[in-house]
Amino acid sequence: MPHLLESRRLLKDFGGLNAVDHLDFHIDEGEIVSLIGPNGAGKTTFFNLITGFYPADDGKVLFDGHNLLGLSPYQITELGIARTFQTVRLFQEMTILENVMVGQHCRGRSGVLGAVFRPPRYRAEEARIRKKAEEQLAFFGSRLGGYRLDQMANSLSYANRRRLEIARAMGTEAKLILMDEPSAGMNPKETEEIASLIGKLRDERGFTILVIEHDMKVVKGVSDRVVAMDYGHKIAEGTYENVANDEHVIEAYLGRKATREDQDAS
Amino acid sequence: MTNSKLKLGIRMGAYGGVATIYLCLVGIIETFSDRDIITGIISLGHTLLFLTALVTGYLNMQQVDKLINPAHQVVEKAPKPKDTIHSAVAGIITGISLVILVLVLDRFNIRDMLVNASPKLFELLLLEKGVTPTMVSLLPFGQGLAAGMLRLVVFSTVLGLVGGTLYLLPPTRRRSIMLGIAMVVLLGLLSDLMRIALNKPGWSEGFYKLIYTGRGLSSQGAVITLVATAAITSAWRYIPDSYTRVISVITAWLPTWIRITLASLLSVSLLLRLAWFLGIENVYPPILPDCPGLITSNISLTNCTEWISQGLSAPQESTEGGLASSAPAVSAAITLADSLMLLGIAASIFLLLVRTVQMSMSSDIQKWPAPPLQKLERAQRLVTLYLGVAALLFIPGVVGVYPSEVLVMVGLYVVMGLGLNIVVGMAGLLDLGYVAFFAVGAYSMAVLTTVDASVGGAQLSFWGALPLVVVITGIAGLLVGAPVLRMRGDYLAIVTLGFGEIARFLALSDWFKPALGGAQGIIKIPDIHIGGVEFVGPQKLYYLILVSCLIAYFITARLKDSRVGRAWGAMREDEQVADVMGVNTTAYKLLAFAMGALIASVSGAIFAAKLGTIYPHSFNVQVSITALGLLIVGGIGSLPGVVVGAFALVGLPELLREFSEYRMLFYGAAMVIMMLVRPQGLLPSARRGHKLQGNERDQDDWMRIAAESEAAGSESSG
Amino acid sequence: MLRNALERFSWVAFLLWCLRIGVIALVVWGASATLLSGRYSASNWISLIVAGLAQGSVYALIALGYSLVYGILLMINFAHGEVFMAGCFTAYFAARALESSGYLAKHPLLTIGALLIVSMAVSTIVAVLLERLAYRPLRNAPRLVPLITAIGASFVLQYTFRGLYGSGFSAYPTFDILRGRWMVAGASIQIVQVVVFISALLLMAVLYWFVERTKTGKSMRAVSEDKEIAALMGIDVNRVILVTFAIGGLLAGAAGVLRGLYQPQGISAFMGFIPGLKAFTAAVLGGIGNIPGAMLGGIFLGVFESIGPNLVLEGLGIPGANQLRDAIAIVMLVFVLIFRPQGILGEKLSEEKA
Ligand SMILES: Nc1ncnc2c1ncn2[C@@H]1O[C@H](COP(=O)(O)OP(=O)(O)OP(=O)(O)O)[C@@H](O)[C@H]1O
Ligand SMILES: [Mg+2]
Repeated sequence: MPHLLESRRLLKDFGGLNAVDHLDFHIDEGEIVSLIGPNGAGKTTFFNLITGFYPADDGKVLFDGHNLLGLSPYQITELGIARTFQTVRLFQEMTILENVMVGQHCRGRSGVLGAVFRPPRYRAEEARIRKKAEEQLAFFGSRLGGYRLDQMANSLSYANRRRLEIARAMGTEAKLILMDEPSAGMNPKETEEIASLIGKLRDERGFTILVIEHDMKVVKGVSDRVVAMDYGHKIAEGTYENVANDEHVIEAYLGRKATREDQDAS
Repeated sequence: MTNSKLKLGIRMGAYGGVATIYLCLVGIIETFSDRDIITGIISLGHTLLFLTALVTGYLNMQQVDKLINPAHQVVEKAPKPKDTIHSAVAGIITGISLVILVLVLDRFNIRDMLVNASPKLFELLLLEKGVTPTMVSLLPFGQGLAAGMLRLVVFSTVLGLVGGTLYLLPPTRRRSIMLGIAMVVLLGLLSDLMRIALNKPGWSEGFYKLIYTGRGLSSQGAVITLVATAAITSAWRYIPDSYTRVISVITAWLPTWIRITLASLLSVSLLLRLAWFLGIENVYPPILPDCPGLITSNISLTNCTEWISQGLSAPQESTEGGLASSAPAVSAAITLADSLMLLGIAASIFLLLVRTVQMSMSSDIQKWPAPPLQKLERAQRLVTLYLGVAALLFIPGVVGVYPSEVLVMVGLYVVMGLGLNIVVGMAGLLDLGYVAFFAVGAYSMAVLTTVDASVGGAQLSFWGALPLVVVITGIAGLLVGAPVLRMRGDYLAIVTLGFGEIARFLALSDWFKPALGGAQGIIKIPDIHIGGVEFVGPQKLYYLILVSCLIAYFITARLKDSRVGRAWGAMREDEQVADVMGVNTTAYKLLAFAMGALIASVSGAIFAAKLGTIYPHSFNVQVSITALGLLIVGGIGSLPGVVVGAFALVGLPELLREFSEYRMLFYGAAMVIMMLVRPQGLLPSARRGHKLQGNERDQDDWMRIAAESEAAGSESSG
Repeated sequence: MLRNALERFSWVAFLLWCLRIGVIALVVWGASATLLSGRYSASNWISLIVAGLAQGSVYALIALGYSLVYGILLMINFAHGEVFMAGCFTAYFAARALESSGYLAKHPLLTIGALLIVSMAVSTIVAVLLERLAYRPLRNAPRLVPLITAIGASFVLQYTFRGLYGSGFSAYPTFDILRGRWMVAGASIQIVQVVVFISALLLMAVLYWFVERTKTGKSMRAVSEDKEIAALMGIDVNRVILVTFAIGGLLAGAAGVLRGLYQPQGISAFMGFIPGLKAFTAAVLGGIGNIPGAMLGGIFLGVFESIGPNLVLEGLGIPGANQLRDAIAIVMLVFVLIFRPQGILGEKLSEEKA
């Protein structure tokens, strides 16, 4: 069976610095894969390449039988890839519900005429979009639901903004969700929650998930497979234990933490 | 502390002085002194002069407050009455600045350079002109330069003091006084309009005579206004309540058939009036006589029966003023409907009275039970809608020609503003060349319909040409949109500004002269007809514009709350993310430009037909800036804000001829001040109103602290 | 395969390419048609070019104001055209007064010096006031907010000056020493144009020296690199910004007098709008934020504007080509922004600056 997403010798050159350097990567349907690596390893850049944020300089990205390179971001989203951002980027002056409804945009058809005359078809679509959006938000319990639906996104707390970003990505009805450090800036309790949420997203909603994560507890808890990057290269791949004990990885990144974890274990 | 307060007072006074001197030298004081606020007592020019001193005192006190009580928490630290002395200081300094100006005007001739440093300004500053001779003789300190200067200082000081005191008053009291002053100024400004609207035979005449005299308020009118405004502001919170109450009583106690009959009678009467109004042949000058019927004529109980008999036999006097021959029948019908309606109202009041009496007599009848909430709300909406529609339909007939002309201009800008709101407010693309679309609309309408043989030739009717005009302008929108697709916000602004200018250059050039008529423009654009009704003159055009405003409002409101509107919103907030979330930003940008253009084209098309002749010079950058300015004043993205902004920025200056010269100055100042002080506009789009940011953030911190201590606790214990 | 190709096909890119080719074709076509027709002799072209150089050097002086401010604040000071107007307009009165007192005829050079001082002083004051009152409070606002303020301020300034000075004016007085013409290679060249061009070059040289060599100039460059870091290094950022505006004002004031010398007509409160727009074009053309770029851009724009209508538009058979002179600059601005937003000399700007 072909991989859901596959990159072959993907290259991004920022004027001499190869942020992503001939990277081979793949993820299969139903997998949760963690992407780890020290700061500046090129993880976010890799996401940006997949989603069409930046044009790639060489290589290939295949998704579900389509070559993604050269497509616009919105086309890629339509094909079924959604993402969150490392620095939360919500639509600040839109309501929480609207934020998620924008996610549904690519699953709708109606245009200006529909909006003005509101024929039954438009109403049905609008109702569907609304229902789907509310469904995604309901996934987060009361945190983003109820009276909050009509509040501005910028009124949310930091953790809830991150949750809303995830809800917005879910709203696109993607097959694959790319999450960029979903637990960044969260307290331990919230981080735990995010970890279980990632699991639930796959188990209950059937998303395939590629997550960039610095928190090794989360990585350990959720991943089927871990890929480690440094200087744009893939330096290790495998189960958490394999990668965590890989000497390149320890050298590049995990060194200190791994020893601490070992101590914890002993 | 006292020292720094003193310094503050001096500084604020100096600012106030600079501001007043600016107003004098730019010519505003002098120009505005020709308009009375209170006849014979104070002109607009002097009002402004005094207001600056007052505002200086007020602001000074505000600054003092900030200085001694920075966090606005400690009540004991709030400024005390004795602090008003510093406001007086500010007033003195403002006065002294003016004295210096007076001295300069007296000693040197600076008029070669500063055109407004005129003898008239000099006299105005000494308060020897702009007030009636009787007032002059009443002024303190008598005549002459020294006396005048002393007077300036004393007046400024007192006003500074008053301003400072005003700040210290409790907010409700302060608000009603300030509103009262504002109302006096506003009513004074509108005196010309009021004369046209009210000073004609009928019930309104008495009201006019009560408040106005000459070209401004009478002194008793000013007092009445002040008192009434203060009373209304303090009673304000009860008013919506009593409105609901009246409606609730009516819905609960008037039999449905009476309500329906009354409403339909009123509708018939209104519609007949409208038909009468639109059906009159056009006269020149285009002043329409008052409509026959009861509401506009003198109401008194004695001639009630007379009316009814009049209503039954067709009255003849309504044919005056060269009216069409169909008028008598219509006017008879109107009078009949009116009479029946009055009868109905009388009957229902009688019924309600009976009910009240019954209620007071027996105790087992429930007292005015409220109808079910839903029903009440619906009734209230209906009544409000009905009253609103009736008011909108009747304005031109009531206010007369010139104000209708103003309304037509306001309406044209409302339509434009709504279109621009799509581009700027919804999609976040700052378009400074919006006039180009207005121009394309006007020019294409002109070319397609003109009966002048030298250009065009299609000679379509307005309605035949309109679809073409809309399509052409929509395409123009795409053409402007395409090259700027990849430009960042501020470049986009300047490039669109450039496009606006190019449109004008091209219209002016010899190159396009054969098609567009060059500097002479295009003449002989025919009027707009619907069936037999010819839309000539502002009072009739008003209806056309009203309909276009409503349509544009409807379209933009529906777009705002739709898939398209959300896509635009996402693009406005963060273009890149919108793209990643699946919005084809290229297409939606083009769509925004096209929709904006399309709506502007309607405004342009009506504009062309209204004037009958168009020149390139009508389509300059000021139009774009006005449209943008009204968005900013009203609140970017807010639809009611567009209407409010258009009234403030187009309506007011149109009403006040004196303003016209300083119009763009005010627009510019309004834009700067709004951006500095209130970037969300006067009527912010509702959604931005309530932010609970603070709350949730606090809660967030609290949670974090709790979690952290929890974590710390478990660590230490483990 | 075909579907993939279709998905990748971008109408926008396609149209842009068509546009690019079309414009180049039109320019080449127009120019060759004019040159082949031999309607103008070489000496005609030389006079046109010299006139363009004078005009362009004035644009360059104003453009520097845009560029300096943009370099530091990443903001378009839309009201800069009005800063130019303020100086030029005020100096007009000084010139009139000096002329009627006879001082001008006796000491023409000192008169020009005095005019420069008046004009530069007024422009500087206006520029500094703008910064303090309209822009400083909005330092951290979203990008479009100061732009809207600037537009508003621009109108306030226009109508303030019209209110102060009125609206009916004659021309700047003329200076006998600048009146003649020189014959160079068979072309007659107005002396005043040469003088204007050279003075502008001198001013730009002084500016260049200032920015490159003096301490203040260095802190300006530091602030334009990174405001926060500059502040950490002990640079008073607000002062540097104020100085930047002041320098822009000085140059615009000088431009005002120079314009009065070679083009005495057309003094009004609205004289700043079009030159402002063109100077902005020049700044973008050279690469906004880039000092030599603004100079080059201005001069290039001046020359192109001077010869463009005759060279290109007439060749295309457009009647009344000179009426479209003002439109040329704007069209050029659009094309530069579409095809080379970083300008002639600008390096590719980073994400944040672009
Ligand atoms: N737009 C850009 N222009 C130039 N260089 C860039 C750009 N974006 C990223 N880089 C560089 O590419 C490298 C990889 O950056 P990237 O953001 O992908 O790292 P990362 O692995 O996500 O790091 P972090 O864990 O800090 O998020 C870094 O050295 C960064 O400076
Ligand atoms: Mg990253």
